Formats: sequence, structure tokens, C-alpha cells
Amino acid sequence: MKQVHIDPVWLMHIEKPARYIGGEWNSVVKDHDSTDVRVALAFPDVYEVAMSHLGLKIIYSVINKRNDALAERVYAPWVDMEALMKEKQIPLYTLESRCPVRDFDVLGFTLPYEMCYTNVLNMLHLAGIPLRAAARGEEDPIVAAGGPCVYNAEPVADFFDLFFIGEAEESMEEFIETYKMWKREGRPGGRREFLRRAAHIRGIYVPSLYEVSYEDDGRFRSIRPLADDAPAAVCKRIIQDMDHVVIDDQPILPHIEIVHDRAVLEMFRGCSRGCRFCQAGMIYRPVREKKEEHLQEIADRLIRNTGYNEISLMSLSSADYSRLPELVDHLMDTFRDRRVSVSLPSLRVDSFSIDIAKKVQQVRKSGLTLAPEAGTQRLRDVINKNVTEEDIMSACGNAFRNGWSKVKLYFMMGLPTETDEDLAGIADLAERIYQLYHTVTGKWGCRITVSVASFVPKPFTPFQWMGQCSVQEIERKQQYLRSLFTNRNIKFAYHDAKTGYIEAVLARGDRRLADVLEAVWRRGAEYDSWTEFFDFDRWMDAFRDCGLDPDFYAARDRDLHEAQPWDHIQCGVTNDFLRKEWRLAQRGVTTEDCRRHPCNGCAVCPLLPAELIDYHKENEGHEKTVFVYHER
Amino acid sequence: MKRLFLSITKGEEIRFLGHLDFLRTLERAVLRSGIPAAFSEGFNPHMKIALDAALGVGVAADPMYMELRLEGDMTPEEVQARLSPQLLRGIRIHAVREAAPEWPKLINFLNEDCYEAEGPVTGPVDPAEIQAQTEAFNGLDSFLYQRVTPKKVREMNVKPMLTEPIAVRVEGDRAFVRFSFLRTRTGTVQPRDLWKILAESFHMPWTPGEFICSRCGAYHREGGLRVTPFDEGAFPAAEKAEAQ
Ligand code: SF4
Repeated sequence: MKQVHIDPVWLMHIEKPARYIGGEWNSVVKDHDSTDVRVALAFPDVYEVAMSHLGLKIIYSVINKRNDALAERVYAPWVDMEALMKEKQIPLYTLESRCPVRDFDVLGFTLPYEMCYTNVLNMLHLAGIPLRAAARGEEDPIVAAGGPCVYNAEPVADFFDLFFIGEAEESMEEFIETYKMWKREGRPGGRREFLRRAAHIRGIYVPSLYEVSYEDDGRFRSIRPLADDAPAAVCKRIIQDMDHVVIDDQPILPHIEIVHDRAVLEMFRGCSRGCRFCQAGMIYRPVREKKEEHLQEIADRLIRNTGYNEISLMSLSSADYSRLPELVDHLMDTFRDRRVSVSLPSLRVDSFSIDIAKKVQQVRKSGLTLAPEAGTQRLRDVINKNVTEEDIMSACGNAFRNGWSKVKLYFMMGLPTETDEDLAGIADLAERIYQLYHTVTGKWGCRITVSVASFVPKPFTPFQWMGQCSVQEIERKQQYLRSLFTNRNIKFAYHDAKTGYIEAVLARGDRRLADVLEAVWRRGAEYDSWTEFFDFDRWMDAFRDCGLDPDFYAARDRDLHEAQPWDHIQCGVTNDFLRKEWRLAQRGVTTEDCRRHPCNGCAVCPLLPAELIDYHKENEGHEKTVFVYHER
Repeated sequence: MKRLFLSITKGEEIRFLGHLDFLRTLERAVLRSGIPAAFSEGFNPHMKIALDAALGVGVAADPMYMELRLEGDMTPEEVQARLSPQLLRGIRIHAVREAAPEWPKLINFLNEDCYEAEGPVTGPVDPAEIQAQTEAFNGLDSFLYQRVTPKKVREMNVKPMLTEPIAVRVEGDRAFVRFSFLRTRTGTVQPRDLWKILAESFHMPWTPGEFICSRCGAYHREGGLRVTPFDEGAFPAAEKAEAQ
């Protein structure tokens, strides 16, 4: 095994050099020469962000639990380290062994958000690996990716050899077996043959085995397998039995402070509330809970193996966990004497959630974060955020009675059917919450932060066909809303509309965008998810270089039956269901959560197949009747 | 409440952990080990753990001294046995001893730090010249140095802060300087200042700023004699009382 040489003297000039040294507690170092399959797991953002990501840690454990495989980590170097690496000709290397990434068998990226794509290109470049999969030779690693973005990976399809669609704990094991066999047989047929074999694994998508065509007017026409044995559609993988899947109970402890530095207890996967703007709510279905006793056991192991003093109960909508009150009580009992606190990152907007939050935050009342998402009931019905004014007020009232005085409210703008009246509703709601604090406590001075993101339509959601609100219109809305906030105790913050626009292009883009990505990266783009590095003009120049119109991707209203670049990927939820939801949205008709109400026919349960697992007492003891909704 | 002194290393592997990061690493190791560490009272309890100095990012130390208070009883041997397997590569325990309640805090007891700075050789190396320059520097009674920061310029006399003559050696393409600083309350000269002074005013063959530094000793210095917290008789009054 080769190792890169880094004189510690060089690192003295680098900000937070501990990002680049490895050796963290619970990191795993194995012998390269005696291990069959060596995987470098990459995250295209800086250490503090990357180390906070649960998905990568799980895959790290899955691979390192095997005797025939090893996984090491590599994160995007910050710009100062990148400059040093270029100056001293240090190739991108892994933290565990300082082995060049290029020397691994597999380089597996996590793709957490679209704005990290330029960092992916940058990391490939620093690794000395050809950017385009087609240009890679037998000596180069297989470059793979997983994570939420792979549900429409077409804009980056040319840069990857394959994608893991869905939850990869099991498909990763099959992938490693396949790789090992191919390697032991003497790599017959080279990487092309390996990719052909990998395409047989359920949930693995090999983009080079597919051919894409476009209509004369530029719209996407179709994507078809080139080889007979590549599946016409790639269906996502899920873990059905959440109590028997590999978990990361020995998480790596970061050397420095990171974004989320605490033990993470994943209570369930999936969310079926059905918010129509939310991609996670669609692609991670169905809901599958872990058993409460099992969670207690894991929590105990997590704390023993780390020495953390905080455990965070994480899931898409944590308060929906069927046994949450019991779990919280048990954990608080277990950990009281060990000075470990329990925290809930996402609160539902209702009084029940506040009761739970009250339990876990017995002493220090930090700010309360709620996400009504829209300012009027009408618009909340459109997006199927099943939260009423009463829910919001009773949540805040409960919180104020119990000592909270800081509230953070999350909203979106640019939602379908939105008018200025809906925006005014945001300011109104904030003001009423401010007044409520006075009514409840008799005091003034409640501090409220209103944070408004611009909405980005995503694939696999009922809003996937809509044109995004233009940058100019978003900026007008921002100014309008700003003018409505006159109370000095209410702070108004909003996201950059231009970043949201580029994100929208990439989210629903096709393979032609690979040229744009390469062009913008060559013009110097990296760390685009960091405001200080994002340069809108650079992106617009890159679109011009490539003769592509970003509005075509972001702003165009699509026909409901138009072919989409992600049609060959199946997350289980059908277009029929999404179209139904889109129509209901126009009429402001809501759809109930299927978790404890009847099935809505999204199709994921019968199609995958999969089973919704919820330990709520009403759900126990009988099988749920599920169906596939078909359009007439 | 039991009080322990530990002699440990902050080794090469983790030299780039800053003071607070190193401390957090040790705290988590103590928690994993099941040692009955004591905590402060209040809403936000803190482990009663302290290091003998706040070493910066990039500074390794061997030894590094640490104090830990226990709320339950445990022998120094058991503490060492439990904690050792929980330590990162780069941290080792040399020794653990019980400390009497009246002994001073380590940070107050120690008043001298010895360092070795190391960096790449940049100019031509002439051993005789290095020898002569070293002697010239050691022979001075005072050397006035201006530390320039974006905020202010501070002038200081470097020599009284050095407790021993410095020693310079070159091995291959690396240069090493050993020196000892007095700890004073009013900000002292830093290793980087000395490295710079030697390069700029004494023609040493290296570049200012291009070095790393390791602390190779920390002492209580009195009347020219050095004592460590682990030496017999380091805390005379208290130890005598104990013997009686
Ligand atoms: S198939 Fe029915 S029960 Fe299953 S997730 Fe979809 S709507 Fe819910």
C-alpha cells in the first residue's frame, strides 16, 4: 500500500488541520494487502458536515464488519488544504491509512444535496481519477454513489460508474460479494464486465448501460437499456426488518467540533404524512419502526461506545414514533445518573410534541423550532401540511407556559397557487404568536425568528411537474414579506433565491447537464452550498458555454404525462398517485397520513413489496389493507 | 473527593488537536472507561478534569500532566488500567498518582516548559556557523524582540524568559532547536517568536513560521532546580505531613 507523505510543518498553515489526520476513536484501520475489497467512502463536503452524516457511517459499519472488505473515509478538503495538496502534489487520500483514493477498488460518494456536485468533480480531480466514467481505465476505482440525490442522478450520470438506489445496507453486501468474485476470477472482461454483473444486483443502476434520447424541441424522450440484461427499471432497495439490520453502534468520534456532535438513535425510516413538497416523504416510504426495547439496547451501546453526553432521537418526523413517550421515559431513567441528555431534533407542530420536548429539556429551554411551512390554512392544505392554526397556537401556548421564550418558524415561498395573501399570512402568524406569548406569560419580549426558504420542486413529488417561481418573483416576494415585518422582536431571514434556482435545475435535470457541471467546475466552482463560494454568474456562464437554457429545467411547467429523466428509477410511489396528489393540491384537498389511517394507494407497499411497520396499539394485531391507485 | 495526577502523552498522531478538542477526547475516554469522575454542580455539569497548560493546535507534549477528580473511590492502578484501553493512538499514560487536597493546581505549580522545535532546513548548512550563532545568542544578556500582530506591536526582552542556553542541531534536512521558557502571567515569548528570531537575526538556515513544536518537559523550577509533579518530595510540606 502506498501512503501519501504530509510533512506536519505544512499543516501548521492550515485551518483546523485535525480535519485531515484521521485516527479518531472508533475509526477502523485494516490491512490493505490482505483485504479483498477496499472501499473509500467519500462525502463531498467539509469534515464538520461530513462527519455529521448518518448514512455514510452506516455503510462504513456494514463494510468494516466484513472480513473480506475495508472502508475508509475521505472528505472534501477545505480550500486552503486543497491549495496545499495541489502545491505539494498530494493526491486525495483517505483518513484511516493515508492511502491515495485512486488506489482503492471502489470510491463511493454520498450525494446529500445537488449543490455538492461541483465538489464531487473537484474530489475526483484531486484524486487523479478521470471525471467521466467513459474515460476511466482498468486501474481506476469503480466510482459509485448513494444518497437522496441518486433518485435523479442523471445530471451526474456521466461521472459515475454506478448508483445504489435506496437503502444500501444489503445491496452493498451483494456488491462486495460480486466484486470479490470478479476479482478472484482475475477480473474477466475488465470493468465493463464487472459493471454488467453489478447491474444484476437489485437496486444498482449502471448509467452506461442505458441510452437516452430527446425530442426535437429538447424535451426528454426516453431512457432504454442498451444491454438485454440491464433492467428496464431500477427499483429502490429497502430494509424491511429494521430490528435486524446492521447499525452503527460504534460511531466515529470527531477530532473537532462538528455540526451534530452527539449519538444518533434512528427510531424509524420513512414518513407517510404526505407533505406534497417533500421528496424524503415520498422516496423513503413506507414507515418502518424499530422496536422500543431494541432502541433502548442500541442507545445504551451507543453511549458506552462513545462517551457522548447527548443522544438525539432522529427520524423524519420523530414525534410520530408510536412509542415515543415510553422510549423517552426509559432513556431518561437509564441515563439520568450518567449525565446523558436526550434530544429531539424535529418537532411536530402540536401540543403533544411540546409535552415530549418538555420532558427532555427539563432544565435548559433552548429555542423551539416549528415548521408550519405556509402562512395560511388554504396553502397548508395545498401542500398537505396537515397542521391547523389551532395546532400551531396550542403548541406555542404550551411551550410558553412551560418556559420557552424563543421560537423559530420555518416557511417556504414559491409554493404552487401561492399569493401575496399567503405571504402576509406568515407575518400575521408570527405576530399572533408574539401576542400569544404576552397573553400566556403577561410579559413581552418573546423572540421569534421567521426563516423562509424558496421552494425547489423535486422529482418523485406531486410538484415535480410545476415550473419553479422565477428568481425575480422570489426576490419580489422576499421584499414584500420583509416590508410586513415591523416588530423588532421578530427576525426575518430568507434563503438566496439564486441558489434555489440552480438547485431546481439540477434536481430535475438530465444527462446534458454533465457538460454544464464540468464547465462550471472548470470555471472554478466548488462548495456551492456555501454562500461565500456560490457564484451565480459563473453558473449562468457555464449554461451559455454549453448552449443550455436553465429555465427549461427550472421554470417550465411540464405536461403531466411528459417523459421524465428519472422514469427508469422506481421509488415505489407511482406517477398515478403523484398526479392524483397534484390535482388534489390544486383544489386544496388534503390526504391523510396512512400510518394510522387507511392506505392512500401510493403503491409502495404492494409494489416493492414492503410492509408498513408501526407499533401504535391501534395498528397492532391486524394486517393493513393496501392498494395501488390507478388513474381512470 | 479523590484527586489524581496523571502523566500522559499528547503524541505525534494527535498533535493537531487544539486544547479543547484534546480535553474533550480525554473526557469521553474517561466516560467510556467507567471511572467515577467528579462533575461540577448545576444545569450544565462539567467533568473535573484539567491539563497543566493549554497547548495550541500543532503542539505535541510528552509528558503532559492532567488532574482528575473522582466522586467515588478507585486506586490509581485501576484508573490507569481502565483508562488506557480507551485512549486514542497518540495518548498513553505514564503514571497515575494520588494528590493531596492541599497540593496546588498543576497549572499553578509548573512554571517552566521545555520545547523542541523542528523544521525543514532551507539555506546552506555550515555547522561551525550554526555553532557560533548559537553561542552568540546564548551569550547575550538581553535581546529585544518586537512581536507584530495586526492589532499591536509589543516589544519584549526574550533572554530573561529563557531558563537555559538553547541547543541547535541539524539532522539531514531537518533542524531542531531545544529551549526552555519560563511561564509568566504576563504573556510570554512563544516558540514561533524564537524560531523567527534565530532565522532572521542569527542566520539560522530555516524559514520563519516553518516548524512544528513539541513540549518535552514541564517543571516547577526553583533555585535552578527542576521538579516534576511526580518526583518524590515535589510538594514538601504536604508530603511530610502525610508521612507522619
Ligand atoms: S401503499 Fe398505502 S399504506 Fe403503503 S405507504 Fe403507500 S399509502 Fe401508505
